[in-house]
Amino acid sequence: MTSAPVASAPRKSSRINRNNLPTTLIVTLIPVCVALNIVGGYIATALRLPVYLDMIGTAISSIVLGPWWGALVGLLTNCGSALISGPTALPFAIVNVAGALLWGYGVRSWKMGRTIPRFFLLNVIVAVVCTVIAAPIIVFVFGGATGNGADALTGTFLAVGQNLAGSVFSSNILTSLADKIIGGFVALAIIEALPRSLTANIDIVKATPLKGILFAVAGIVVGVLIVVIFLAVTAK
Amino acid sequence: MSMQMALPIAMIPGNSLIHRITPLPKMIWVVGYIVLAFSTTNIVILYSMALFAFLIAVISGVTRPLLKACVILVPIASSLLALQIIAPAVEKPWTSVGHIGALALYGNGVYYGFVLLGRIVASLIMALVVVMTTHPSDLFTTFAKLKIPYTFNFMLAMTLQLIPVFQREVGIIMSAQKSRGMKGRGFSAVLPSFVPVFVGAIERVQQLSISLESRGFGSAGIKTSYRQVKSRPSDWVVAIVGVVAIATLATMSIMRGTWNLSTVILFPHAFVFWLFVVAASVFAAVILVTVFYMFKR
Repeated sequence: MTSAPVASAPRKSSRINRNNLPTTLIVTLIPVCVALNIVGGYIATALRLPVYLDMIGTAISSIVLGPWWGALVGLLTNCGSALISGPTALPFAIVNVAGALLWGYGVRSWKMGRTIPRFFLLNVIVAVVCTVIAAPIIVFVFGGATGNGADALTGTFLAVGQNLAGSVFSSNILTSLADKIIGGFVALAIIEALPRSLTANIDIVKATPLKGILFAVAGIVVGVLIVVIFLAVTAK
Repeated sequence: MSMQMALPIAMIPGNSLIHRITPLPKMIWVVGYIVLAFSTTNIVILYSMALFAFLIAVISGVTRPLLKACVILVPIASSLLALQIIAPAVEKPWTSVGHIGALALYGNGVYYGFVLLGRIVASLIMALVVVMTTHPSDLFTTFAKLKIPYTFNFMLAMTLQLIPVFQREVGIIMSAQKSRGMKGRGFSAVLPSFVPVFVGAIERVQQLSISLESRGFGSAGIKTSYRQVKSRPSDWVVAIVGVVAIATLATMSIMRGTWNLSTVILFPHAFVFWLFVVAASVFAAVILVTVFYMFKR
């Protein structure tokens, strides 16, 4: 008995990836995200904002395109920054990549973008992981200095008797929390404004007004600051 | 610092000896500088590297833009030295050289602070000189010759083109906000401006994507470049001198256990004290300016 010929499933074109987006669109979207990261970081420095704003493009790409595309954006951001302002940004590429993977898998696989509290928690996780990775780099490569306002906090923690690694971690977690929560919610606002063809497959909550998020961030940062100061003083 | 101030990415046009060198030898020098900077703790080597890179900048005629770009080092240099004096990144016991109130100052960290700073300064100056004397297209053509995927090259090149566009558009949006009596500084001004800039860019790249698709981007075959980079014998000499000099110094440093001179170069107590006062004051000034800008309407 011969079996009836079965039509094989249509082969997916190599030009179309799992997001159903043409590769050329992805190849052109990635530089937009990288440029947003670099310009965001530069604007934060130029306007002397106490955050970095250099991972908004990473968050957008990892949520819209996928975690590994986001990781590529993170890598390219630090490579591009190295071409612009020297190689000091290169060691932090790993922080950007880790953030991309967490945002990407968090929203796309672990469904942490379904509600505002879940998404808020995801940003807090990203902030903590980024600090855990960044703090040793700051200590071993830059002797604890970052050149921004967080160094004043590091100095304060050192003055109350904490060691260098602990002080860098404590000050970095504060800036990182503010940066990643704000960055995550700005990314959410941008994703909502993107064409439907790009965001159709993403299960993510609608953006919320940024003013409320800024108040929440301020509350969290103050709370963590109190805890960190308490731990530093009692550790002495 | 205004929003309209351009990022220091542009090549400074010129016809100097350094401008005429092809990108590959320059890249070898940059990578070699980073490798050497992180394989030695000898401050004589580190600051000689920085001085040499600065001399190359002078020869290239890019001294002014380089010094302007190096302003970013002021906050990190001041905080790095101040932090290393109050908490040296070396093993205890530390030798106290004085107190400011309850704050103890230690001399042990000064040498290490200068090492860390020397690494950053040397690598940064060399990298900036290379960026300022190399045409981006030549750089990407060289990357292609080194078998770096052309999609990666395309993404990097497009990023460098988009940065000034984004920067200008954020500036325009913030000026428009100001002209309508809205806030022009701080989070509430900056964050909303990212949305129209990004969404506008997405609409443009969708057209670019179709254009790339119609021109066969992503198809198999040899990719060619409009700009051709041809190495001359002098380029090979520069590359070989770089490799030999850097490999020799790196090997000597590693054989001598990073060639640390902290037991030979001792800093007087008064120097450490005043260094801390100056570094901490500069950093405090930076912080005060930051706070001032944050709360200025």
